[in-house]
Amino acid sequence: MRPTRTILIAAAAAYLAACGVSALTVQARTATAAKPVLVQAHEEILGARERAQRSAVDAATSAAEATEAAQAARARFDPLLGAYSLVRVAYTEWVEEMVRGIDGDFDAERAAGLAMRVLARYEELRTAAGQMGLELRPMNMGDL
Amino acid sequence: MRDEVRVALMGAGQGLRTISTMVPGPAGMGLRLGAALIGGLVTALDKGETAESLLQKLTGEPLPDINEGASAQDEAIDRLIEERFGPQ
Repeated sequence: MRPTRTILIAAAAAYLAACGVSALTVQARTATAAKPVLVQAHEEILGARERAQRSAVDAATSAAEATEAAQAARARFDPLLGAYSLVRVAYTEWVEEMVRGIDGDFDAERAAGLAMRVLARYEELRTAAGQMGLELRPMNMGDL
Repeated sequence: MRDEVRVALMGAGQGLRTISTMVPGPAGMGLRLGAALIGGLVTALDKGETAESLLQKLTGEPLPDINEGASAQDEAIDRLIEERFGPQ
């Protein structure tokens, strides 16, 4: 590990100990704050997907045409469903890592790596959604 | 928590967050995570929550599975098509 990183982690651990808060609690709190942002993304993607399907059905003049148009709308959203699922997997792994750490052997650096992955996956999801005209909110300091 | 400490932490977090927008790639992501963790620290100190109680809530209510939601949605749309145009 790079020396600067080691010093920063040691300083953070010392500060947390002085505050009476564990690194595990801080990460658990951060994960708790991140969750509503992810749930909102889930709802907005499904909402946009439903609107796309309904407008496709509304514009159709026959059952076959409506079915085809609805399926095309579904297919357009498949990449977003996949991107959200990757965020969900990363988030679940982060939470599971923290749960394993409750017994006292919490690996803060490994967990922080998993948290980074959640952020990275969420940014990929936001980018994919933006390309479809769907604005997902960023994870700001105010959220976390 | 003392107000001065809170303000200093929030300032540091906001500073990291601002800098992170100028730094591309994993380094920027690391700065964002640092800002997020500072936010987590401030809230944890304010609320006095324990890791156990927080994790219990997170595991008790996992993130929703979007594929399940999409399947239910597709069934509803298929029913709508049938109602509107009759069975195929």
